[in-house]
Amino acid sequence: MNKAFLIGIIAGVICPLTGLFVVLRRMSLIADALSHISLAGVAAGLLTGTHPVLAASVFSVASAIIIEKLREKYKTYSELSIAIMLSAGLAVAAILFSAGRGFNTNVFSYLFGSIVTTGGSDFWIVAGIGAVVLAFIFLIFKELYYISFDEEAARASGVAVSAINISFTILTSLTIAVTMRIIGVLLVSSLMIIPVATALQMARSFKGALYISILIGVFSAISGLFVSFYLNLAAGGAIIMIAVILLLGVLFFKSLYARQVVHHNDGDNIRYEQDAAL
Amino acid sequence: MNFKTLVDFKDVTFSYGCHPVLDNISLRVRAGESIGVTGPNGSGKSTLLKLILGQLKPYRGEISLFGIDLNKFRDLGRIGYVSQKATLFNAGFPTTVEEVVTAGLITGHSIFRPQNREDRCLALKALDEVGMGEHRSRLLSSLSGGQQQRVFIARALVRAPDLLLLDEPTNGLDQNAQNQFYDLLKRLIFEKGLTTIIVSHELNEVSSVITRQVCLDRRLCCTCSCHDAGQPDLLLECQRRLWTA
Repeated sequence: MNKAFLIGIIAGVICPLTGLFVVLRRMSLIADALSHISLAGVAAGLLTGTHPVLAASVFSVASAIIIEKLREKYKTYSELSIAIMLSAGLAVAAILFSAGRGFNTNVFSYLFGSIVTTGGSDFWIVAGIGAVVLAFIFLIFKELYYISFDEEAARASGVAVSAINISFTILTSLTIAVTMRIIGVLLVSSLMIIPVATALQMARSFKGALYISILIGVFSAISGLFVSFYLNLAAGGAIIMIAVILLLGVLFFKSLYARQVVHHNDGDNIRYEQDAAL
Repeated sequence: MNFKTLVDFKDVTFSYGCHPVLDNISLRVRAGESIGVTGPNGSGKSTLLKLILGQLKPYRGEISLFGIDLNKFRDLGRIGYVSQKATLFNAGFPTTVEEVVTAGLITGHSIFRPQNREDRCLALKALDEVGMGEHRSRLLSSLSGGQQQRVFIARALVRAPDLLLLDEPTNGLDQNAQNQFYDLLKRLIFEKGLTTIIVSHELNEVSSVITRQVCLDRRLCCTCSCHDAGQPDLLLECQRRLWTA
C-alpha cells in the first residue's frame, strides 16, 4: 500500500507537469493516442513474457517518434498523425489481446488501474523512469515554455525546436507508460488534462499554473487511492473522479465570485446614479 | 558610429517549390540604418526576414550576417525579432508580462542553464524602457493590443541585439496605438543606435522611423534614402503601380 501511494505521488507530479505543456500546445489528443499504444505494449509484454511496463515504454516511445515523423509529412493536418497512431495502437492491442486469451483476466487492471498490482519491480521501474522524466523536464523547462508560447520566436532565437519537440513527446510517452499501472490506460490522459484544466481557471502566471496543477494532481492521487483502498474501487476511477469534482468545485466558485463582482458593480452604479440625481 | 555591413544579400533567389518568391535580390544593410520594406501581399517581405533568420535557405545567391556567411552564423542573440503573429498568441495561455520578456533571453546556447536573478533584472530593465515596468506581474492577455506589442518589443530588446527585425508590427492595432508604437520605436532606435528592418504593407505607417525605403515585389523594385528630396515620391509611385497592377 505504501508503494502504491508513492507511485500515486509520482503520477500526481509528472502527469500534470507534462500535461500542462500538452494542453497549452493544444495536443490533448496525443495523451490518448499514446495511452492506447501503451496498451498494445502491455499486451505484447504479456504475450512475450517481458515486463508489461517496460514493453509499454518501448511501444510508446517508438510511436512518439513515428508521430513526430508523421507530423512533418502532414504539416497542414498535423493532428492526423495522432489519430493514425491512436487507431493503429488500439488495433494492435486488440489483436495481441485476442491472440493471448490466457491473460485476459489482467486486462481490467490495466484499463482502469489498480493499487494491488504495484509491488516489487513495478515500483522501481515507475520511480526510476519518473525521476528521469522529472529531471529532463526541469532541464528543458524554459525552452518548453518558450516553444509552447511562441514557437516562431523560439525558432528565431536559435532554440532547437525540433529536438525539444521530439524529446518532449518521448517524455510524455514515458509518463503514460509508467503511470498507467495505477491510473489505467483509459484514464491516464485524464490525470494529465483535468488538473491542468482546473489550474488554468485560477492561475495568474505560468509558474502558478504549474504549481496548482501539480498540487491538484498529487491531492487527487492520494485521496483517490484512499477511497479506492477503503471502498474497494478501481484506483484510476477514484483518482480521476476526485480531480473532476475539484474542477467542478472551482468552476462553481468562480462563477459565484463573478456573479458577486457583477452584483457589486451594479450596486455601485445604482448608488452613483442616485448620487447624480441628488 | 560603426558603418559596417550587418546584412548582405548577393543575388538571392528563393522559391517555395515551383513558386518563385524572391528573384535575384541584392541588398546591403549597414549599421545604424532603419530600412522599411514595403510591397503588396505575397511580394516576399516576410520571406526576406525568414532568410535573414536562417529559417529558410536561399535557392541561389549568398547571404551574410555581421560579415559571416549565414550557414556559419550561430550568434542569433545579436538579432531581435518581433513576428507578425506575436499578438495572435493563445489568449488562454497563463503567462505574465515578466515571464514573456524573460523568455527573450533564451537562445540555442542557454539550454540546461536555469534562469537567474540577473535574467530577471534584464527583463525588468527592458520593460522599463518600453514603459511597461509597472505591468510586469499582469497576465499578458489582460493587456491591450498596443501594450502587448510593447511587451514583445521588450522581449526582442532584452538581449540587447544589434539588429532588430519587425514583421508587420502594428498589424491589428488602431491608429492611435500605431502612432504610439512608432513613437516608441523611434526613441529606441535613436537611444540604442539600433539597426532596424521593418516589414510593412503600407509606406505611410513606417515613414516616420526609417532612413531608407525598399520596395519589393519578388524583385527589388526600387530603393532610396528617405532624406533624398523627391525620392519618396518615386517610391509612392512605384507602390501605387504595384498595388494597382
